[in-house]
Amino acid sequence: MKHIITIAKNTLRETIRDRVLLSALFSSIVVILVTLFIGSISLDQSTRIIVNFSITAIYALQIFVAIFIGSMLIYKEIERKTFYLILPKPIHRGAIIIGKCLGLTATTILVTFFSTVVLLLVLFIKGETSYIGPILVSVFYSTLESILLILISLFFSSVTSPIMASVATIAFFFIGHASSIMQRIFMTTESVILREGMRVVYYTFPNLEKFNIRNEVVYGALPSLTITLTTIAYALVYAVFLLFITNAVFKKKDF
Amino acid sequence: MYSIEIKNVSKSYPKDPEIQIVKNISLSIKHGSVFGFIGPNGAGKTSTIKMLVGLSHPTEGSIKIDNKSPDDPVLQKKLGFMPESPAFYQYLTGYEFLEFVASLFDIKDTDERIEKTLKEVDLLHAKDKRIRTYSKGMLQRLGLAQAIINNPDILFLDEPLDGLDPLGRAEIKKIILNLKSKGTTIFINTHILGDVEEICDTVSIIDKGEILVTGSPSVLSQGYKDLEDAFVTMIQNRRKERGDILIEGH
Amino acid sequence: MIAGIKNWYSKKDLRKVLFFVIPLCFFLIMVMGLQKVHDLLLPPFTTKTQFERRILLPPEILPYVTFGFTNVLADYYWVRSIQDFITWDGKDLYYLGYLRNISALDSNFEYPYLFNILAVPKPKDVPMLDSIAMISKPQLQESSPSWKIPFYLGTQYYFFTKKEEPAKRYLYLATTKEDSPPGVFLVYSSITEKVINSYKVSRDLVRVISNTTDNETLKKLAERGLANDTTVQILKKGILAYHAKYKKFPKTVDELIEKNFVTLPQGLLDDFTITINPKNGSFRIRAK
Repeated sequence: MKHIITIAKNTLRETIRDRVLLSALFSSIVVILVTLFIGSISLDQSTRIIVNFSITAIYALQIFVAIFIGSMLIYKEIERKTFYLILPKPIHRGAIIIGKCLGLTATTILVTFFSTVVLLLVLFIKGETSYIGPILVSVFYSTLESILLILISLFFSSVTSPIMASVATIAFFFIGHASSIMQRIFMTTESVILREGMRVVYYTFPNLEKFNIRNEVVYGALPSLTITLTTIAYALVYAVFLLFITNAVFKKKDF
Repeated sequence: MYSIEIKNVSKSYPKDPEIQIVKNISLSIKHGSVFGFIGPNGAGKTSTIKMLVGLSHPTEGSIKIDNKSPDDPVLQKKLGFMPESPAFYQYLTGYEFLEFVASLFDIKDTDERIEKTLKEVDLLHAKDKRIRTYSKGMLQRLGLAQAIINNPDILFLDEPLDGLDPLGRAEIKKIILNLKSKGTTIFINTHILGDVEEICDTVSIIDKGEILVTGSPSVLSQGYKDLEDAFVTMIQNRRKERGDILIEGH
Repeated sequence: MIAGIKNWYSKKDLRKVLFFVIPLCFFLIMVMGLQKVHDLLLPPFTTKTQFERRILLPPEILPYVTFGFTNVLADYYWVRSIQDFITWDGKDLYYLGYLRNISALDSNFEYPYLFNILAVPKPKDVPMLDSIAMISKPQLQESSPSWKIPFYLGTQYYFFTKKEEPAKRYLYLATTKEDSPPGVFLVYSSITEKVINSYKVSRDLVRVISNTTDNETLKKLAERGLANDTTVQILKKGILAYHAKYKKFPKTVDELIEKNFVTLPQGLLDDFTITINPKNGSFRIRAK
């Protein structure tokens, strides 16, 4: 556990210095502030616009961190050979993967925190405090989604180049959000192969739409406790599954 | 009792499985001795040392260090490794990096140990400077520092004197000899033969993945002008036997 | 001074600066000049641009291709529809594509329906209102909680046709919703009881809208509906007649009443404030 924390701390230290990350955070904050102006041309729907655009900006920031910074994480260590100093140490390779995941998750939470604070300040200034609860729940859900994407990009980062790892993770992102298409296909198609194929994809690929409650935030609707617990359990189980296969690949890897 | 036992180890990479980087090598290295692994560039020295520290795995054969596999975390606590031209996290200071390494070894008296190690490699004055400001020599010293911070019983050094000026090399050699006197088993990869004669008890010459000969420097030099002459001649002869192209005039 | 500058810079330094500054200024002037030429070649810039038929993805596939960005896309279409409303000719049915897409992305987003019902169809343009009603069909289902959408539709149908059907149908639907305010029931019962005073019905419809929203835009649009009512056509005629006689517009509605140019329905001035602009004769009716 101590080693995992050490690696996580080091990863956090490394990633928060990344200028790309700081630019992305800055852009996200700018978007949140710009929504004040977009809101003014939305004909009395300014609060809705501010909330929707801002939580989407925060979400986009989380996805960016997961996909682009995650895909560089392992690869950078291999390329620069900084791994040569860590791997021979008394630390399980699995602990390195978990540590990296935790570190990048901590980075995601940190940038999410800053951008969410800006959003809440904007809403506070506008006198709209009724959305705080739904916003926080939505951000929590999207953080769970970003953790899964971090693990997916870590897996690909350990087997291929950063570009291919990003492409593969983006593909998983789209597949994960296309669950409604897949459902529609396997419920309506007559082709057995297509139906069963889609069913397999639907059940095995991560269903990222589960973590999307952004549509309900502006209506103040919160998911029930049962749904929330089920979603957290799904994220946990899938995360363990991803950690397992990443560890299996990473353990056998030659450097 | 042998500290390191390498039995019939071969290594090839999945991309080119027909090309063997290391071909069926066997070595036994005694406790407390300094073993030199010498060979030209691309001979397979680094590939071998990587297998010894668990960075890669042999395609065939077995490696035992103190009767344990190189991946064993219990063994890794007693092991030190300095890679060739070590790379660090540039944003850390020397002290912070050693602190990070020390936490991986679960070292308790961290501050004292770090100070002591930095003093040993003559980097105490630069402990609070960012690693990105370090010179080549300082980076080599820091690489050695992270390898010895846990007071290892077995130490693997890949080209430890690479890029150092004569003064730096003398200091590193002094540290190696000091460790030897404490009973540390040391495995050194190098192609600088003058240093090998000074510090190594046993030497193996490797070329194109094959071990040509193993023995003490004095024994290997018998019949030749010096160890360098022995090294060059043996390699040339072996390449002739294999039908490889020779470098004229040597 | 020149000697001072010369002393300050050596000749070499001065040359270096000039070799940098002069080309920089030259290129900057060239860039600005080319931009000016480009602007002169184009038609003059005006805010009065033509309505542009932007690419709108078919609403049938839209929910499947948002990949987690449904909420923001719905908002984007809403903001876009507001911007294009200014240039829209009021006839091209292509404009309703925005409402279709918003409906497909976020059927709970009530405001675009209300705005489209009140603002989009010109007075008495029943076919346009029919098209909007068609798009709003999912919101008119029994399971939909919105009372405002059927109520606003009913209001517009009443203003446009002055007939019971289809206004009664939509107003009845509004009464079946859980959150319907009492005013909805009152208005519905007025229509079903065949109350002759159509102004009272119109007034009550607008009052319900004004009392159940804080949204100033919707209030103004609803009041505009009342303004298009026949009763207020009387006001328009009266103002024009006053102007024809006195060559100026009245300052207040009281002047029109005193000089018998208008006879307003009883109670109108208790519920609404009518302000007349003496410069051009335009008037505004606001609920009190």
